[in-house]
Amino acid sequence: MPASETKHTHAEKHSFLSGGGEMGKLTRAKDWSKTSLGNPDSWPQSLRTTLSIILNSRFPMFLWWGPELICFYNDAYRPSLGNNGKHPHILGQPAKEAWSEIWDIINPLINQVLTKGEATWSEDQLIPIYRNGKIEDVYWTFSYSAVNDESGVPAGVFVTCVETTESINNKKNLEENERSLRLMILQAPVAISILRGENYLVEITNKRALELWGRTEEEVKDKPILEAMPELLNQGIKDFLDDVYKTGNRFSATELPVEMVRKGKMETKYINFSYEALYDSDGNINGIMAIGFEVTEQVLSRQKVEESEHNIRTLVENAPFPIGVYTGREMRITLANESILDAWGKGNDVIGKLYRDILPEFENQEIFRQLDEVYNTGIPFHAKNQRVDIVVDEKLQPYYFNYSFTPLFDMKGKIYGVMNTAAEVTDINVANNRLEESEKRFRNSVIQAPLGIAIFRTPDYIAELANETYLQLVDKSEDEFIGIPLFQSLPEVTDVVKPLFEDVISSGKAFHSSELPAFLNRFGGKDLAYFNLVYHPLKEDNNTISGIMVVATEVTQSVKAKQSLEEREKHFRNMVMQSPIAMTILRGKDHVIEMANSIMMKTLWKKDEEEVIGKKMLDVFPELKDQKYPELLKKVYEGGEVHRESESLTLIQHVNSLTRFYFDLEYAPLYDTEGLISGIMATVNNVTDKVEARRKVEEAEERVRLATEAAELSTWDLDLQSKIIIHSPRLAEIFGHEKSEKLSHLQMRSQIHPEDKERIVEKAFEIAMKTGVYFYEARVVKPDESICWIRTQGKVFYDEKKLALKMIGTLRDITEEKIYRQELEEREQKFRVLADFMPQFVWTGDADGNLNYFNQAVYDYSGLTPEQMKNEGWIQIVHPEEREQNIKAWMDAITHGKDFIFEHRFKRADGIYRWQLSRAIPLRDANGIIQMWVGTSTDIHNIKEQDEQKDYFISMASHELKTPVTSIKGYVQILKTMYADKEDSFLINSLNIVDKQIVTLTNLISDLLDVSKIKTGRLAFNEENFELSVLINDITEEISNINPGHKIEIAATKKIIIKADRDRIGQVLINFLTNAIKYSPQSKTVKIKTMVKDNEVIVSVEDNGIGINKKDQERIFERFYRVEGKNENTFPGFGIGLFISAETIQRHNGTISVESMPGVGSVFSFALPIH
Amino acid sequence: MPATPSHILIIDDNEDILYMIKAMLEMHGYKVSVKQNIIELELGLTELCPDAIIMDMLLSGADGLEVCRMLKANEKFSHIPLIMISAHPSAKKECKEAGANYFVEKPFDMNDLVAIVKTALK
Repeated sequence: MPASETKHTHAEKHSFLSGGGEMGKLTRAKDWSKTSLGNPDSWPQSLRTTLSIILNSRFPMFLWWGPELICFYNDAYRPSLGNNGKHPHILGQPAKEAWSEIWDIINPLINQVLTKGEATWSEDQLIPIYRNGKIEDVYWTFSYSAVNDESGVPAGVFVTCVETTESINNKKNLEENERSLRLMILQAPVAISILRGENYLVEITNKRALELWGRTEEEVKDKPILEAMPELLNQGIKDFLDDVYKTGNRFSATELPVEMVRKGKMETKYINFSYEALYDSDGNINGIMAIGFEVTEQVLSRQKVEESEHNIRTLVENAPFPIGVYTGREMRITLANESILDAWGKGNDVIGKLYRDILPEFENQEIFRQLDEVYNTGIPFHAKNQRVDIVVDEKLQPYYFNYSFTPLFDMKGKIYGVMNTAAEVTDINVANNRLEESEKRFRNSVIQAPLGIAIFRTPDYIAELANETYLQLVDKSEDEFIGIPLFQSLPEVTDVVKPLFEDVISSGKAFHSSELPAFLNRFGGKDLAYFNLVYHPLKEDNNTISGIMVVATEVTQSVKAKQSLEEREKHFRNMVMQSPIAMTILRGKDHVIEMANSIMMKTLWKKDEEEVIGKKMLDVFPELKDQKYPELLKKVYEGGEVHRESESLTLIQHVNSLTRFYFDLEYAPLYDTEGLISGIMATVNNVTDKVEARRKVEEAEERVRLATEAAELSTWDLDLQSKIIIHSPRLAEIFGHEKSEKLSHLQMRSQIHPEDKERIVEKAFEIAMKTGVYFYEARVVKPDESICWIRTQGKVFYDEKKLALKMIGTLRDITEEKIYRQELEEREQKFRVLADFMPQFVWTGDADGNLNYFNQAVYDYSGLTPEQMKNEGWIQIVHPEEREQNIKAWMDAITHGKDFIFEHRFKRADGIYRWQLSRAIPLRDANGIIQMWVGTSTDIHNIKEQDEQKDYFISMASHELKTPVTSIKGYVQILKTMYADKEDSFLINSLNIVDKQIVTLTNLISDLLDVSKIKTGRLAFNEENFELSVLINDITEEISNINPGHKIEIAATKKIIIKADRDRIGQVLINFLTNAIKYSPQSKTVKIKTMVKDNEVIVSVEDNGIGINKKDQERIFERFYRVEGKNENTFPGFGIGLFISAETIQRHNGTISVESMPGVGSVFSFALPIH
Repeated sequence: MPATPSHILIIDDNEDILYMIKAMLEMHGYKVSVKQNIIELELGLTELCPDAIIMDMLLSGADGLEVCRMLKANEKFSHIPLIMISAHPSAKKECKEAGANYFVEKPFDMNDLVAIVKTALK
């Protein structure tokens, strides 16, 4: 037949191998007879079915089958093996060889599946495999599950797997992104530094931080911060740091004044900053991140504004004439100086009260009306020598005042109050004096006031008066200014001021201006200055205006400060808009969205501007109402505390479903120029991907951690440059330390046993540097001086320039294993010496049944050399007739861990085969796992020959005996017949006894013949249907006749038909009954019972005889076994009856058994199936 | 007892058995002839003209089964009932196949043998 046709037939024959693409083809073409699975013809159905599924599946699948775990896989799996690696040679290879590099990892999983039948599941596990010509880091998500064979025992491990290397790499990239984000933050426009350890060593600082500190990087890097900046020592900074370090509570401060050295000088700086604890992987605080930015300028400019306000207030309060300020239409007293309080005869408690309430006596004195008018019209009111009745000392008394009510305008020109100035002119003289006095003081105070005050007279605006401050403002001397028209001395202001003056003159109304810009030629140049101004018309008695009083405060600095604040705000807005991090600004207590950058709009909110800008946050995102956010925003808005949160879980409505997000967020209050909170800046970084990726990584890590813990493995990661090692807690434990301890690389090395350090560990390290693979087994001296063995395995990782960067690996305590191995080796050594001197054949095999040792006797007998035995296999010395059975029995023993016992012939050096009895037992470790097999073979050739001869002899002898017995029996019967009528009773008796003994002899002969037939397998049965109870009755009757001394009781039986050899079953019954009678000489009753239980009929014979002890019960059904003891000596016979009975019952697929107690009796029973 | 007793021929090379059977049958009134071998058996049979033949399966110098087959093949003798005796219980089947009419296993009971002879002669 042509080859192709043969193949076709082969595939057809094994339909389970059809299809399956390349792997199908390879699997079909493979010569399986060379593997332990043998030819596919002999494969079990379970393997065939599984294989058919695998080969035809498009999902990557792999199968290990049989005791050697032979590998199969499909086309979908094949890419995972890469090129130039395992494919295709591992097809049909034992798993241990095919996957040697990861055997340590997968073997426990396989064992778990095979022994417990439990499936495993591993996700994204790193299992480096050999492919593409090198060991590659490959991540897998895989499951192992057991495939049972026909007997329900796991015979194979079914693997489904997906390579997840790519997705893991994606995850790594994600982490890389995270790192660059971190870098970006480090370059952020705020100062950031990382302080490590309890001495706060400066580990990282960015440029801003250095600027803030006024230091160079060299001055601070790797130094304790308080050493590098000793000026911080006495400012409580250390306490803040210590607190954060101890408690992990975040510390933040706003506008904290800190004294710092700048350009060699101490300066006060105001800083907003926060200290945040940093944690190591074990959750312990190991550093602090300090973030800060300087707010000195803002603080100072605000302080200046406050100072000038304070100055004005002081001025008012200390003015020598009465001044009061009443605000609002209701005229609430907001300011009242000492002088006006004196005039009213009141105390300080009037502030905040209503003018009308504290001076009710003015009700009818026109004063309230005057005030109302000024408030309503904005026209000042002046009174001269006006009588005012005031209650002083509880009496209404008349006083005379010159007084004015001047309207106060706000920035928008709206009246918000009235200023009241007055002078008492009660006694005219006194008044005159006082006036003079007051005028003098006024002039003095004007001259000395920090407000610039000047009076210009119409029509040329000649400066009549200008105080020091004013002169300073305009940078003129008195001579240059007083008596000279304004626009002559300050021509540069003409364009701005002249129209305003003219307006004041023509309207008679005061002009108020805030932050009026003006260019002044002063301080040697053209200077832009800002003023808060009041141009006040000076009216004569006839209401003509004779001049203008100018009150000026220069606010250039505060304006500039404000402008720079605005500028900053502009920058800030730009920063927000351009930020790669989502930001939004929420205004007011309703959190109206003022602005949001495009990142926020596009990626998080997924909304257009018109949908959100100007709307309330919670209206736009109603789903946030039920979450924690409204509360948080409120807290920040009202409390002013910055709220920061990492990986906050947020649910956002996208389209129709709530989507789960994780955000790093910050809510920071925004302050207006008055220092009041006006809004919130929310910075939101979507870290959902990161968190989810990390969770997955964490889960995977957790699994690996659990797996490694379960395997007692510890892991480590050594930076080859810095020699910094990171290790799992288990490693410290192996080295004899507390789990929580962190060991340095140096410390680990120092604990290596001195003998192993150079010889083993350092050498292994050198090799690792050359080959990239680190492996050694060495001793470790623990702190308590005990010694343990470790096995370290690692792998070197390189950078792009092939420079060894780090080494990652595992470390395992192998002390027990090592001790066991040593003991084993010692034992093995002893054993071998012993074994080699033994004349018997001794051999051993590994757990998989591969024979690996034969003692000298085997080689002597077979004439083979160890090489020949190894190369050609031990089976070659087994007789061809027994080989197949031999392999089957051996595999059966290996698979099930059962003792091996087998008779076979071995070929001697001279070509003669001799019979051997081989036995082998498995040696197990403490866990019951088979370690090896130990076997012996004993030459039984002579015994076997003798046995055969004996059986032949028995057969022959029995036949030969029959003829003389026949003749004796015949003649006795003739004699009995002949002398039946005679009265010689002795003769008759004698003949009866002879006759009876001949029957016994006849039975013995037939038993012996049966035994020899059993031995040679020639015992034949003639099965027929018969009624068991009839047989029992017949036999009982027969036995009763022969043994009239015993009574046999039959328990009522119903009609049971069985199919069996009637005569043989009868023989069994006879055997039971005669034994019962024979061994119960004292008791005279034997009971026979029949019962039906589950498809079986059980017949039992019970006696109250001498009984059988436990030891004997086990062997009583063996050939030629007889119970020994005193009483039995009186009972003759070969112990073969029970042997034949047992054989008979077993051949009928029944069971035979005995229950007995010495001195009490025995119950023999047999059970037969009812068809 | 019939006036003319039936004539039984016994063939056995064991003299003791031969005469024992003879004695048994004679006790029961049969005429018995004996032969210790099968030399000139054909001549003897023609001469004796037995009503039944009892023969041991194992005869020195001859295979009882072969003799059995031979007798049953010869129309002169095939009608004579043939009782075979053997110590081998398994021989029963072979004997029947060879044409024997009855089979008796050694050792046998006198009464059983007589009953079989009686049956054979009916």
